[in-house]
Amino acid sequence: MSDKINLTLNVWRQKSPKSAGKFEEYEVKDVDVNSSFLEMIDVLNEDLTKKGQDPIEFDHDCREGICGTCGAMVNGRPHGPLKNTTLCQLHMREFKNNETITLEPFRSTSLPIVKDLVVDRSAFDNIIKSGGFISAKTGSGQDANSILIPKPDADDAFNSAQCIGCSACVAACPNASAMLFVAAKVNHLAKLPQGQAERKSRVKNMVLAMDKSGFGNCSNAYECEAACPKGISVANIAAMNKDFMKAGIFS
Amino acid sequence: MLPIKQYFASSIGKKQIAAVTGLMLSAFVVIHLLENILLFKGPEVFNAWVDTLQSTKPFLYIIEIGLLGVFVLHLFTTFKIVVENKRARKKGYKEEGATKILVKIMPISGTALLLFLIAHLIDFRFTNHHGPASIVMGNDLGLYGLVYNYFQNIFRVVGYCFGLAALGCHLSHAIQSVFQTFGIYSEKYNHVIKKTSVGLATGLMIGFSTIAILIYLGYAPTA
Repeated sequence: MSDKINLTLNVWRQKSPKSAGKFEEYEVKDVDVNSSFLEMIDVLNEDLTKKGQDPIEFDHDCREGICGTCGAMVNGRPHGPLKNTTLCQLHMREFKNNETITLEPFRSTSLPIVKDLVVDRSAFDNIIKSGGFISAKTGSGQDANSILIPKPDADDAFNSAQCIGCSACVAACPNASAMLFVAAKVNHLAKLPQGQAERKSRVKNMVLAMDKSGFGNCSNAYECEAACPKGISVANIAAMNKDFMKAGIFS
Repeated sequence: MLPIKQYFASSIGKKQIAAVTGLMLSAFVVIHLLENILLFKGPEVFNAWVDTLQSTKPFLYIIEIGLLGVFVLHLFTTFKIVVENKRARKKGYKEEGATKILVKIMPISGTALLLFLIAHLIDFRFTNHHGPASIVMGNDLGLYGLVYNYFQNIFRVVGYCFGLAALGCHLSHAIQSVFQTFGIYSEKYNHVIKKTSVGLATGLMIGFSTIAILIYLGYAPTA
């Protein structure tokens, strides 16, 4: 078994937000199968820089799969073929020798391309700003048992809170909808007692902020759930739909 | 509470309109199938039911106009949703993900249904129910005769079945979507919802088509 593989990368290159952009092909030789996907691009970029070419721009930060900064479409799938895995945690052993890999940025009107594989996720920040927080002063840490939270609720809230805001859900959605992201953020707080005071205004404001950003509408294709590196369930979307109805009509 | 206009202009509000109107139209289709089964009871029973409906005028007109209103609302809302969705991703991917085909073709199956419905209304609703097209073996059998004669033509039967296939595709995704849109989700019962949705859609598709095919094959009584 060889520890090195050769790859052909078909990468989307775009100089600036306004420029047209096109695919360019790169041959990458002797890729260590134990390197991560981003390390593979690092090596390619070093080569490109030495040759005096523009390196492939991509977003990354922690490279531990917990920050939500990285991400690109690998052969039509956000973060690549592995389930519950961010791009930085994807390793080259998942690919075959002489394979051609198509690399594209996440595409949606609301998250415009900055350069190559980098997208501007300010729209997500705006949604969070509209209500994804608790504004009450909480003071210093309380006694652990002073606020009792049933275990299933704590688990649910934690599952929703795992969302790292990487926007793979938007990228995977045939309608470029951000429902899974917004739903995860809404439910994370809706499940906890601390989130109750602003529960209604939160869901209203966050949904309206999402609409205002120009994301598509959910048509229940559930591609988001399949693509989510944190395995966030579409149950969150159902819960948000219900919460929005309660807040928007019945209160 | 949100102002009603703002609520129904929101993405979730629009989906709820599409869901409720779609559900109403589905209910009508179910009733329609039950009525069609009366065809096998013969011309007298079927036409008697048609006469009973006719005798409820102007109440019948109110129902028809209501149905039209619901239909237009469904069409308008879903059209808006589709336009917004297209706008949300102007440039597509080189390599497309594997979105479930029935979800992907919702706008196409919907448009096919719209065309089918227009043709269907011209053929059966906005036509003379007593005339040369209603005569079977020398007897004017009214709407029964019209239906009977219509399905003696194989091309019409095939066209009709295609229309029903569009209905089947559309509803198998649509019915389960209604549950999600109204927040009914449970790990335990999701498979039941899904199977019911696909089952109901397939049932309607096969039900209507079978009736048309059976008439073509001569299983409908002529007297």
